[in-house]
Parts: sequence; structure tokens; C-alpha cells
Amino acid sequence: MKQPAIDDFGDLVRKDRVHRRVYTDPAVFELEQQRIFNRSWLFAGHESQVPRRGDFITTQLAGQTLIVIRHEDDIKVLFNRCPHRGAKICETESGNARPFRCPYHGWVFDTDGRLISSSLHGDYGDFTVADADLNVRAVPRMTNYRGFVFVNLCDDGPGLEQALGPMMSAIDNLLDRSPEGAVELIPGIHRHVFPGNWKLLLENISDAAHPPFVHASSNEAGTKGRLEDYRMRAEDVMSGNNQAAGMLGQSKLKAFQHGHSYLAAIPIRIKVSREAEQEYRTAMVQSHGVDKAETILNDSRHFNIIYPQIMLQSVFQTVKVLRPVAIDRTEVSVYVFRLKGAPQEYERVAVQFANATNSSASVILQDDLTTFANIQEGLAACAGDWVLFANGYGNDIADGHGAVTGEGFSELPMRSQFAAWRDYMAAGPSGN
Amino acid sequence: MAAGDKHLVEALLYTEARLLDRKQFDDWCALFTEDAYYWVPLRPEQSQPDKELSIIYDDIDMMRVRVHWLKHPKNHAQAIPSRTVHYVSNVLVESFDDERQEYRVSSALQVAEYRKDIQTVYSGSCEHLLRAADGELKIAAKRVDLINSQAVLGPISVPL
Repeated sequence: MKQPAIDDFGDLVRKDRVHRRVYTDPAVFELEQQRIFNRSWLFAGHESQVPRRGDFITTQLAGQTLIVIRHEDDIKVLFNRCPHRGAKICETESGNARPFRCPYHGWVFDTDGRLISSSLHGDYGDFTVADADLNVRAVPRMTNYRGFVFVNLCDDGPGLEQALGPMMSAIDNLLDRSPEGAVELIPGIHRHVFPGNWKLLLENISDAAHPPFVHASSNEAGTKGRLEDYRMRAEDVMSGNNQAAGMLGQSKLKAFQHGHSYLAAIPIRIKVSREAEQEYRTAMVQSHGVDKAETILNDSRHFNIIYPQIMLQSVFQTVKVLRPVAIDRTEVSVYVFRLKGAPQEYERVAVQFANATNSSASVILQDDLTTFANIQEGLAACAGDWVLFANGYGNDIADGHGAVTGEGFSELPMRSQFAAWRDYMAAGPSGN
Repeated sequence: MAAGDKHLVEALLYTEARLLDRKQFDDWCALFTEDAYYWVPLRPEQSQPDKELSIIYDDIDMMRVRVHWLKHPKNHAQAIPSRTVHYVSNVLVESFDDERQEYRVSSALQVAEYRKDIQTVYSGSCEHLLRAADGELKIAAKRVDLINSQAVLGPISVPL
């Protein structure tokens, strides 16, 4: 097969395979930042992280350093850069910014970024604090969807709900699992890093075929435990992770436009005491009604992928977010939520699940991270040059409205992710 | 608390470090009581393991699962095994509960780990709850507060 050119995205991505360069070429990484991450809706944080006026968190998205700050009743997302000489205004990961003051020359801003006073007044000719250019710049677009703060660094393109399409239901399902329809971030964020390309993580999340190979060790270690069965333990996760290959082979996959997808019908469930479950179900029925409560709780999606950044597991109250650092380095942050109005046990169990699966000391996660490193090292070899996503190709069923379904070990989600990747990359740079 | 107790306490902490470095993980677990827990919090001032995320919050059963995983032939993370040195210093018996026969012991911990061409150093403060029962001193609780607990971390395979 002839070698594709670096800017020939249609040739780097073919129907059932991609060229290894998409994982290994630093030039591809730079283009991805501009053409994918600068134009996608990205998760910036949750409003419960900034409950009071002036509360802020700082974060990095698509190479930009940002402040998520509580203004009056609303939340603003600002670039963390003083309009005067460029210093970061907020240094810490979180805090309260009242006064919202640059540490360099003491310029003071309102919590929406508007300049209130500066050290320069009087001596600088045309200078006036009313000049909008001297405000802390807000991101081009942000949307607070039921408490989830999303940012888009490009000022044109589809809005959040249009861009996420059917994946909005994944966010709704997480929120609707609360009898009050609301969640709060549980303190602490699991952060880990792996020496591999960001796309490897999305592919692995969608991959029902790897657990019997990658997770045999944690599964066998887990099933040897003797634990009361009401406790949601790492053991349950691990044995679920290694449900007989036949079980994983029955998973249902659905892929949508723009690279989104979900993997469903994987039988890993949160386990709580009978009393807690009864109390929870009663509360759910009271607030949502019988039918809607059933629908919410029967959602069997194991993983939702909101391309290119978010992996959401509503049943485990978890949102995992990736941040590409370099072509061969990716950081991951894992947020876990408390369902308002649910029994306390649901919070404890979600914490246990997160510690067992997403901590950097997790016996499950470590085998995944090691595998990503191995893939990245293997891809450095030019042998063959192509990475195959052929499983299930030809068996995908399109519904005619942009959704495609597959089953079992189908590599449909990866094909869908690369179709979106090709479209983003071929569309050229954003207007910004 | 008797004059020689400090030596017993130190000996137990050094033994624990030695067993981890020699990968005698079953023997490491055997140092703990059946109601023990092993905690590596995510946040320095963290007081609640159930309402906040942790790096590790294991009871004895989960510790045994971790050890089983560490020894498993299909473990990928340790296919190339880590070599470690656990340094324990600044050991101080903070208090002794006569009724419970429990010592609260603080120490400084540094773990150097080498794996796949990379050396990583973890540093933190440690708190052990040690309980004397049936003529034996055992670990009833161990808490490790890493100075970089909130950093972006790579895999932590060998217990700290």
C-alpha cells in the first residue's frame, strides 16, 4: 500500500484501518489541537466546584489556561491571562477571587472579567477602565447544561445540544439518577497520565474484546476474595470486567455522527444494600413517576463517549476527561458525582468504585495504562504501518439518520471516531 | 508504655519496608490486623474516606486482592517488575493508648521506584496505628500522605 501524505486525511484514515502516523507524528498532534480540540465542546468543570460568588477553579483545555468562575447567578469561563501584561490572574487550582486581582500590578476585575480599577489611571493618555479590550477575555462560547460547564474555543459551529445530539441523553441519565435531578462533585479528582496517544484511551473504552486479556490478573485476584455480597467492591468490578467473553460479546454498540458512541448491555452494576436500594427506588418513583424511573434506571449503557474528550458512566456517577499533552502523552481527570437525594450508600459505593477503577493505584487501570504505553512503543515500528479496525466491518447497521449499530467485539466505535477525526482534520483550521 | 517500646515500633516499621522491597507481599499483609485498613488519601487534610476520593483505601480483603494481583503471572503493569527502596525515618511514637494497647506512630517515608528505565520518587508522611495483642505488635491502620497526592500520577503498583 502506498504511503499517504501527511495532509491527506482521507488517505490516512480508510474504511477499516488508519495509518500509524495518526498516533506518532507530532505534526498531527498540533493539527488536532487546532482542528479538533479548538472546535469541539469540552467539559470544563461542574458548577458545584464553584458554589459562591467569586469561587473559581483553573483548568487547561486545548492548550489554553482557563478560569471557571462564579459571577452572580451564573458562571463565566475566562482566559487566565491579565489583559495588561499577560500574567496568570489565578495561580491556584481553586479558591475565591474576591477581589479578583492580578498579582503582578494589582489590576482588579469584577467576577465577570470586567476591569474595575488599574494601577495605570491618569498617566496613559487614552487609557480608560471602560475599554472592553482591557477586560479579562471570556472564551468564545460556554454553555452550562444542568450544572455541567462546557466550553467551545471557536466562535462558530454548532451549539452544544446540536453538536452532542443523542449524547445529551447520557448527561441527562446521570442527572436523572438523582431523585432531585441534580448532582454535586464528590471532593477529589483522580488524575493520571500515560505515555501514549489520547486516541488509544477512547478506543480502549469502546473495546469489549480486551478485558479477558488485559484484566485477567485483576479479575482472578478479585474473584478469589470472600466478601459480603452487598458491598460494592473492586472485586465486583473486576469480575464484571471479565464476564465470560461470551457476555462481553453480547454488548451493544451504537455510534453517531461527530465520533460519539456508546457501549451498552455490559452487566456491571452498582451494588448497594437492599434497604438502600429500596429507599432509593421509592425516592426515584416519587420524583419521576414509575415509568420514567424505570427507564432511567434500566439504561444499560456502560460507557458513553462524547468525542473527543469525555467518557461518561452514568451508572457509576463518573465523568472521565482526557487532555492530550503531546502526541505520546495524555492526562486523564476523573470526576465522581453524588446524586442529590439518594441514600448516602450510593455516594460511598461510587467512591469505592472510583478508587478501584480510576485511581493511579487501581489494579485495573494500571494494566490498561501499561497496555497504552506498549501500543505507543509498538507503533513506533514502521512494520506494516496500518492499524486495523476491521472487526465487525460490513455488519454495521445504519438507521438512515446518522446512527449505526454493531454488536459484541465490533470495532464500530473506532471506525466512527476516525470518520469524525478525518472530517475535523480535513475541514481545516478554525476561524480563531 | 515501656522504655524498650520504641525499638519494637521501629523494628516493625523497618520490617514492613523490607518486606515490600523484597516483594514478600503475603508476609506484608500478615503484619496487619484483620480489621486493618491501608489508606493513601488524595487530599492532605482528608478525614473522610467514604465522602472523598482516595488513591488507595483498602481493607484487609482488598489488600489481599492487591497482593494477589501483584503476584499474578498475567499482571501487565509488573510484567517488567519495579525495584523499590522504602526509606523510613523520623519515627516518633506520638501517643500510647493503654486500654487499647495501641501506639500512634508518625514517620517520614520515601519510596524510590525503578521500572523500565525510569526512576520515580514518592515522598510523604506516614501514620501507623500499631496494636499489641497476644504478645505481638501488628498494624491496625496505615495512612500515607504523599506530598504530591493531588498531582497527575503514573501507575503506583508496589504499595507505598
